[in-house]
Amino acid sequence: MTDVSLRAPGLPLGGTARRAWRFAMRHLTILIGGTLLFVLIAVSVGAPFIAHYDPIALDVPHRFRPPGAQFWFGTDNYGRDVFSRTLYGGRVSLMVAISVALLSGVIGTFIGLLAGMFRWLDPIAMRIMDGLMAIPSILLAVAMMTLWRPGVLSVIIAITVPEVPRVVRLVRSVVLVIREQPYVQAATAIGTRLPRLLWRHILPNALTPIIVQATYICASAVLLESYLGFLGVGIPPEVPSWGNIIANGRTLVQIAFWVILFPGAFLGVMVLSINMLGDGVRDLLDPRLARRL
Amino acid sequence: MQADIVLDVDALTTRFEAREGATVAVDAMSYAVGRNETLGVVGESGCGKSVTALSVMRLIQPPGRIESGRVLLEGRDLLALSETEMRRVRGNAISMIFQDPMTSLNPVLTIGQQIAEIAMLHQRLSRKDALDRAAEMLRTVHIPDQRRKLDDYPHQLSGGMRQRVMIAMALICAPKVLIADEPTTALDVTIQAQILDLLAELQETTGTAIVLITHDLGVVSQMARRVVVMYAGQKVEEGTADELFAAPLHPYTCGLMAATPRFASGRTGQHRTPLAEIPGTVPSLLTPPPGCRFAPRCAIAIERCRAERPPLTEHRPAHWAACWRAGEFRARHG
Repeated sequence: MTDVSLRAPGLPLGGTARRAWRFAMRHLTILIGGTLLFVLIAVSVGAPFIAHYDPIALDVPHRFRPPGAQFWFGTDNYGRDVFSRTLYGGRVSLMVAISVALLSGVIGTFIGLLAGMFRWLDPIAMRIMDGLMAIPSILLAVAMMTLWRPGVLSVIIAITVPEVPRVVRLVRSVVLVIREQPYVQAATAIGTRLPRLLWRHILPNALTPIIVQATYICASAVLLESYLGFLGVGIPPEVPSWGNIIANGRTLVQIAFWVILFPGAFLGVMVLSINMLGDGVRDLLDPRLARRL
Repeated sequence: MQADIVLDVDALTTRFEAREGATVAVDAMSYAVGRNETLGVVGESGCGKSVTALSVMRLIQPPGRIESGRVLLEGRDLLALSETEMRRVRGNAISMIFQDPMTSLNPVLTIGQQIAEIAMLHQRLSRKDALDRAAEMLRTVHIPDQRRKLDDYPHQLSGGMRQRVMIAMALICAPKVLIADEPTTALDVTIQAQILDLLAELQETTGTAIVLITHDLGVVSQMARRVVVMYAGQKVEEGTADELFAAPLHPYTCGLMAATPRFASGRTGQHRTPLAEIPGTVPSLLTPPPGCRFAPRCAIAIERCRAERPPLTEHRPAHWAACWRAGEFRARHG
């Protein structure tokens, strides 16, 4: 009922600023998560303008420099600037995370909608999904590295495939509930066609959990990408990704802990910020759920 | 009966297949409604009123199946149409309003979008024209400030307003028949009266035939010219509202009337008679009683009632009942 009062005419001017402030206070998780994520995205995208060193150029004389004025995050065993590498690594991580979230979100939603709507398709689709879910992304990545060429695309596919069934299950269960709602029957009773029914009446009502799930997938994709890189089955080692940097740094921990510390911290902050954003968005879109939790 | 019958349901039978066996939810149901006429369909919960309505609209989902019968809309058998043809009929020539206006509107679409959608679908109007038409319909159902209301979401409206929106949606294509499935059950009494008045008023201007499904005998006596009483999927009595309520023939109708609360006459309430309930519940349709389906709950049932199913016979002019002892039952309140 608050929205009614917010819409009431005659609010004093400057109400916009106050309303924005009230919104920010009420949704602190969105504010913090969103800000952190925005900063991370900004520095990753703007890496060429912020970082002065080439992230892959070797500079052996300057190896193992501790963090300082010249090399903010220090250098690694080949004298590469950890700061540059971390920022450029963020680009890879971000691209993988966003691609995986979008891909698995779109594909999963599509299959989930159909499985939820058509009774005959449901058992077939769900058994296939169960099968896909049983494939560990690490094994899939290993297989793809050997069969195909290693690269960002392989990593994206390897992470997406096991994520799709999770989205499908979610969407299907939500659709099963929504399709029984009186407004869906009412829409059918006025002669709405099936595609339109799905697109206009069912999908918008299923969107909230899908969006929330997509943010969680985004966060777990960042982590998975680093696992794969760390295990050496991810993105080729010459490309700086957080997983690769950490994998390389793990042998140097005792001599140069900064090689592993900074990308690790960035990784943690990014996962945290995406999760916070996801939680906040869920609370925002579903106030009933937020009150219960 | 009348010459201008719009909807003629003839021996409609709908069956639900379950693991335990088949259930005949609607058993050879027949009724007819004419232009400008309101037909009341009454009965307890689970007696098949809504399933009949959904069968007429062909909205029965598996495991349910329409087994036999005909549904003639101006002489055209709806059961013989293809699904595509049927889709053109729904919301256009025949539409339906549902019981709960709180959940019958899509929460994520504005009411303007939802009303306009039908006009765009059936009348091929452009979005702008459809929205104009939607605003016009909101005026017809007496919603003030139509232009702004079009941009409102369902949660911003009260229950009565939402039911008005539902009526606007149902009537935008000027249907021949409107099926109102418990349209006022979820509303409070004053709003209920407003909605019923609105339906009566709209019927006068459009001539739409209304099938009013309800368990509220008060609503039926006020709105309907003719009444059909259903029990366990079958029609047990049919007649004009005046005649049926003055002299009910079937013990079930008598029981329903005796179970209807009325205002107590005495100040202290010493004249109040306790409400008479009908003992028992609607029988399981998996194993219906062999004779009259009401016999197990009937106070005046005889051997014949339990053995033989009574046919629907015209005991008085234009007043049918399916009972071996029609008219013999006298309710306590006389």
